[in-house]
Amino acid sequence: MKGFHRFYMWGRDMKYRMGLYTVVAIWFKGIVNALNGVYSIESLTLLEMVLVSMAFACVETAIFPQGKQWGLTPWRTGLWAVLANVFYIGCAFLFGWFAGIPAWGGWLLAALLEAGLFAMWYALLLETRQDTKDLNRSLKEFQGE
Amino acid sequence: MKITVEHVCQGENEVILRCRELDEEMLGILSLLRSGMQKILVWNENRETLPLPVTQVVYCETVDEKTFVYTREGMYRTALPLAELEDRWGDLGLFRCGKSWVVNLHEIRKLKSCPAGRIEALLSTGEKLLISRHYAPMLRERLGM
Repeated sequence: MKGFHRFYMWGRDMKYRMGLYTVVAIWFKGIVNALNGVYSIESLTLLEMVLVSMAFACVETAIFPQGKQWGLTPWRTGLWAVLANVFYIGCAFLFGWFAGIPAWGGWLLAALLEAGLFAMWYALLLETRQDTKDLNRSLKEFQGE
Repeated sequence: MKITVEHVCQGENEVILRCRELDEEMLGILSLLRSGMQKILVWNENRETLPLPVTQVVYCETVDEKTFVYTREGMYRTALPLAELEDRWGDLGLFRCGKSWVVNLHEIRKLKSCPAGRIEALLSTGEKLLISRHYAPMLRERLGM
């Protein structure tokens, strides 16, 4: 039962991450399609994006296990960034998600992916800085200063 | 070592240690006798014993089952293990921050949140202690976070 509960909590955590990545992938696919004059997305493409996002979310929960403060551990952050590129750029090529867009469009999408990853890393950096401030405030209160 | 207990009807309770020299065993017994006070009995490299006020302790460390006490002025030895130091003088700020370390929270100048949930403590002596992710949550709790 304990094992099931752990699996259930892991699934809950992974599901949120999967949902976020799926929405972002579908958002960009929708924009690219709209620019090409297509106002729908194939069900198969949606399924591919959901499955790829689920796979990446599973990998992400392995790199940053739930309930542990990993912060900006260099090799974990690096591994996460590399795998995000491999999963999304690799699958975009493999499944032809953004077929038909000009070369600069591909570079733009890749740049947006990198910007998104940087934004997530920066959020972790801000969180660490805030944690340092909170720690020192609590320390000074403890020391009675 | 011979132990003699004498019962007397009058006068103050008294403990007399009779020995050829103050070896580690005797120093340990002395420190136990005097540890009821707000001072830790320590001895320096010349084997001179002195009662050290807890407020002067910066941190304590165990190496090869020997406990070293560090102040801003120097280094001493005590017979008390780290667990006992924290038990007796935890209220005065001594905190177990690692398997081999006890730090005086009043002698921490700054704290820094680090990757993987660890915390770096900058001490008043300029030295740095890395508090592992096992002990970091206890420090947060101790600081009232």
